[in-house]
Amino acid sequence: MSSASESMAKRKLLATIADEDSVTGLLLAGVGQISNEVGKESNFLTVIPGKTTVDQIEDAFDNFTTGRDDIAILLINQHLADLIRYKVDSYTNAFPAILEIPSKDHPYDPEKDSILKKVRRLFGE
Amino acid sequence: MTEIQSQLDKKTIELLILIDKYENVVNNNYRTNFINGFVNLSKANYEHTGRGFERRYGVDSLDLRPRLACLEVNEEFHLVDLQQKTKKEEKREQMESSLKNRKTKQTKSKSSGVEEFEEDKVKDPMLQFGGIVPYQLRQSQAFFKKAIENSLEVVKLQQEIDTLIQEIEKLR
Repeated sequence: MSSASESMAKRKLLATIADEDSVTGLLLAGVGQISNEVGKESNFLTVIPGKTTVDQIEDAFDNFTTGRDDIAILLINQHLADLIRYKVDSYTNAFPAILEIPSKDHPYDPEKDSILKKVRRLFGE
Repeated sequence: MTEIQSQLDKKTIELLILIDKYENVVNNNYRTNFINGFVNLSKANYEHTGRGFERRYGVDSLDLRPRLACLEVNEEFHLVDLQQKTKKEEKREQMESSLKNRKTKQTKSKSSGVEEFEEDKVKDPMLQFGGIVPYQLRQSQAFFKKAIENSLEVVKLQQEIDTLIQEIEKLR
């Protein structure tokens, strides 16, 4: 139990996998951390359409969720989460928590909200 | 049977209250803070690139030298602004050391020829875009900070709703 609380105490950072404007905005807010430590070079991935592949997004997702032990929350654009939906939906760990955030071109859509989908399924819709 | 039924009803009511709270947060502040953040960022980019020479505020203008994050999440899942915390500590240190350390020499060891990055100092991320930036960029920063606070609230509510859903499914 104490090791779980210790590992939770280490998790302080917010990581992000998002498009350019979302990353710029979140970095402006102060989320970004860059270091020379191997495996923890940066806590953000900027997805550029046509340049960033789905494999790179998957690798970043794996790194931020299981590879690193200092991430508390992973913020990922909803439209990017759709590209790796199988990974996001099968992710069951409590930490880091995953939150799908809106982007400039894809504002928040309650129809695609995963938690509201679970609620609708519960009530038989 | 009736005990299980009453427990189920109680948890369902709790779930409905949480869903109401969640939808309020998500459809109001969370959504609008992100929208305003993006709108102001676009306005700042328009202002900045209007002269035709400068690049937009984006990946190419980011400072990729080692730096610490300014925002952290504490154990209670609250956002901690390290910049504010550092400023308060510095102010407190300044007030404490007004006359006491006059005679003590404070020496810093510097390795010659190697540029030191102040990794232990938290800097305003706005500085990587320059000293004088359009005010829309500052507004965008403020909106994104609020959006991140809302995001933490959303994550907490999601976890609570998820737990309740699992408990209700077990009772059924």
